[in-house]
Amino acid sequence: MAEYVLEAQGLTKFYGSKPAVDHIDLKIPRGCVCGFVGRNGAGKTTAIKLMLGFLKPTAGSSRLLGCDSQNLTPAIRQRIGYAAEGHHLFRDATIGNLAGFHSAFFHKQLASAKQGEAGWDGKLFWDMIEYFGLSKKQKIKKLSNGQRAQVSLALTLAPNPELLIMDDPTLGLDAAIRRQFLEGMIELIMHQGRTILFSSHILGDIDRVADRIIVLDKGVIRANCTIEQFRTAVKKVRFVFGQSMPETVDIEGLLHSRRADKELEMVLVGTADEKIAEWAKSAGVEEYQIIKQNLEDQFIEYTAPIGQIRPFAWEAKQ
Amino acid sequence: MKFLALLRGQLGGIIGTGIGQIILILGCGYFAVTAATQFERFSENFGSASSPLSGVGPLLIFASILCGSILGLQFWLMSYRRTWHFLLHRSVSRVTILLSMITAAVLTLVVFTGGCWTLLFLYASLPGLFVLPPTLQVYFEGWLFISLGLVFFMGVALSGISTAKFYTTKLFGIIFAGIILIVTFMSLDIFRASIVIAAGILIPAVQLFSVFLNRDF
Amino acid sequence: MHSKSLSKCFAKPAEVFTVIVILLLAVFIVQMIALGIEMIITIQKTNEWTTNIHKEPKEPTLQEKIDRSHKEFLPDGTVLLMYEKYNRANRQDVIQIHDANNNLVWEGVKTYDTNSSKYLLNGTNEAPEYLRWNIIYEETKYRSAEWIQKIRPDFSETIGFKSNIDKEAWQYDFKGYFTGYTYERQPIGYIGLNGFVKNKSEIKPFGKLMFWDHQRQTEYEKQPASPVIWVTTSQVCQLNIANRKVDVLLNTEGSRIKESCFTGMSNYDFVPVKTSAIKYRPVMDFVTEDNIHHLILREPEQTLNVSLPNDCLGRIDGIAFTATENGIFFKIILTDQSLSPAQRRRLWANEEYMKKEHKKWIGLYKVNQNGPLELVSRYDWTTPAIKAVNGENSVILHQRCKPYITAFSPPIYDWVWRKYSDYISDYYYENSIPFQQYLESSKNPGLSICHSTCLPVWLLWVSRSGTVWQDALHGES
Repeated sequence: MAEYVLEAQGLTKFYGSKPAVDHIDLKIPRGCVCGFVGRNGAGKTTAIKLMLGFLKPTAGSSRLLGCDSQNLTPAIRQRIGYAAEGHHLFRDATIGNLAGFHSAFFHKQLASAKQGEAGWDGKLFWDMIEYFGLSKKQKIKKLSNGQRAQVSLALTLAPNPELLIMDDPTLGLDAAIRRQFLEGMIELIMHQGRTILFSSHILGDIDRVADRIIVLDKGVIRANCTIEQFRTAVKKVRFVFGQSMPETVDIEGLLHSRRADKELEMVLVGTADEKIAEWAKSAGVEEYQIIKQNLEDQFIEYTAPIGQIRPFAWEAKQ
Repeated sequence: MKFLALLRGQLGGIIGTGIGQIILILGCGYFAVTAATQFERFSENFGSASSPLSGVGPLLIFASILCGSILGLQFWLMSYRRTWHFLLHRSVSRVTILLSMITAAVLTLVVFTGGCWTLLFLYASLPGLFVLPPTLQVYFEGWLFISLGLVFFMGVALSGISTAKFYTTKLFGIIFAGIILIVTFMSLDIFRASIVIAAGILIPAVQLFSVFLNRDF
Repeated sequence: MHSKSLSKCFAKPAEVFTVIVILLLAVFIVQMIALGIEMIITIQKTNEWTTNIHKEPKEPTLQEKIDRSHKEFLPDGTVLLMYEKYNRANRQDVIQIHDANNNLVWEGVKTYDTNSSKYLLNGTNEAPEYLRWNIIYEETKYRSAEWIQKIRPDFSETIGFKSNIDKEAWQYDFKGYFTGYTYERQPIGYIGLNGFVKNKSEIKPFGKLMFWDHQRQTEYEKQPASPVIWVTTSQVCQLNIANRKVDVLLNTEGSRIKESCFTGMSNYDFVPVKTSAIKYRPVMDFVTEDNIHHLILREPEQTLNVSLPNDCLGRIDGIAFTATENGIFFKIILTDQSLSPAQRRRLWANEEYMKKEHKKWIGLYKVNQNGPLELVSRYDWTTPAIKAVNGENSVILHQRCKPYITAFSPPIYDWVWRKYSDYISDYYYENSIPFQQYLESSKNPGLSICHSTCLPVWLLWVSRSGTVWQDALHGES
């Protein structure tokens, strides 16, 4: 089996003169759970569609399970589970019809288990549907967004795919169902060789299940590391000056800074604590504090555009 | 197996269209044929004789075009409802997916529209209804009219799948189908009309395949 | 990958073809709208001059009067000129008959008899009885087999015969023979070239059908049960379906029949008479591709072939024939310029032709049994150069607009239009739709433009050929 289930080299997509995805290089190893995060319009969905062959890249290439994305064979597609953003399904079908339609593209579970190919796990599907409180005869168009997301997830997980790509899969799910879904994902991870790439705006979910994080910002990968590495690397430090603040700040790993009165807040990436202490001493800092942040806070600071307008600045003035 | 699943999926969504065809063609066609039986008594002793099914002709054209257009609208709806990704991620090639959609359209036209037409034709051919029976040429002409439904299916589908803007070439598929319709009835014989209709099916079909296989979704 | 690139190879030419066809349509629509607007402006100007309808139009010159007169012959060859004039004050059609020296021979008023649907004349005495003619229809379409078989929304037609007396029906569905049924749809048999047979295997089919029609006495007296003249590419048969009889009247031995005229067809009843002193013989004329007229006469039965003089073949502006007890006669109108059949049909719309004077002459020929045609009488005249009577401005506007608008026509479009406009415009012209009158009287240019977009073919054809000339010819201002 290939070491990397997903590879991208210089993957680029331009819409007109604007790059949606700009020279993405990526390698996702087998068995990895990757959280794919980015702000709105960062290019996550575009990157996923490029990898799945729905879009043609302007430059570069990508491979899934060893197969070129632009020529994914039916056998390879069978081994990839994909849940699109928004969970758009055939509205006029019932859940039963959809299950019948979807299952026709997979082998029966038992036979495929022997052959090592993707197979349809009907029991898993209907157990999930029952758990979600849905029934076979319900029409898709009559379901709420959340219920539709549940059906979509059930359809995606039932074939036990080798590689799971999900674009904001928990969009529309309530907290309880979201947790159940995440627990289900953890269960999947326990199976040897399952790889998951999912994008989400809920960093808490990423924190819970992912072991790698990929941060996309304006089409460019800004970070591709383990969650632990990201947590360790991104620091927010508040410095309090007794005297005047230095005009310029020169510290290794500075991402951006904010000044307010005698306080200077800095976001640093990859700066060791010793370096911070050293700089504080040399700049005449009275006291400093490394602010405790969760993954979401770190992500926001990491991807904050420099010099952005803050519409709620009146809070600071107060 | 997979192709049949795709076909079943397509047909499931258009069964309503088929039933509508039956009601429209058989319902209105029956009245047209019945009216024609009354009119036949007053026609000339020797002269050009309209077909007993002359009243059914415009109905058949209308029903076929309507059916074909509704079937082609699927391509618009799938873009609007964003369900292309769900369909395209099946473990089949894009060619197979497109062929299943075209096959579903052809089957609907053949079975529902063509079936109703055949029933009407057989009804009109029954002894005792009309003095002079409808000819086989009329039957084939009816199938030509049904083929116009496929022309419009291709045109509407091509317009639906096109990524061009409305004010550029997006609607060219539909316009082309309209041109084929006009040219067909510019006093052509059955052979030339068949060629025109065949061109009206093949030219957009070729483009449909190319766009479907190569476009971004 | 292979299917993607292969599909692109075929799709590109298909896409180019589609775009070209649609762009041609767009050019056509733009041209049609522009010419429609131009025509509205032209006709609006025309309307300004027609508001004073109580005024009589300008009296035509002698040359114009002679040109507009119908030329007829008395049985002895004397030429008569029939001039029809519309008296606006009295709303009457007045017929004046002059001789070759422009002396008035007879004058009368034409009235319409609603009882008999005929025009009658009221004059001082009986009008002189001139020879009546059978006018040949060139490429008769409306009773032709080709027309019947065209695909139409209400399907193509067949030819049928029904007899309520015998309770039989016969159908010709272009397989070459008639199939007979009783009213209960029991098969009777088949009628083909060899007459009636019971079994299909015995049938000898007719050749490819060109035209067919009843033998009729006058334009208005149809006799549905009378025998049918059945014209194929090289044979003329007389069918009596009721009696199941087929007589082969003529076999042209491979030379294709291109035109025909049957007995009693459309004698131009310019000056109707109540009783005729001339005894006519029924006659039919079939013209083959080698321009030989094959005549079939009755009372007594006679068949003969007539060839016209070679030097006049390209310059014929009209031909008619008749047969009386005194002989068989041809009337030919010739012009000094060689004309194609299409040009001849719409000579009045040919601006290049109409703006110059032309010499014309009409000849009365007698057909001799064993010799060449004998010229009995001849009348020469000169057609006037027709100037625009609607005023200079509308002509200038029309002439200025047309070249610019039609200059944008791509060559292919022009060729297609030239090829099909004859066919389509013939249909509209010969059906005399009242659209032109509506357009001329319309006070709402916007509505008129909308209407003109609905009939682009007719409108464009009329505009390109010159409405102005038609108005001038018919004396309307």
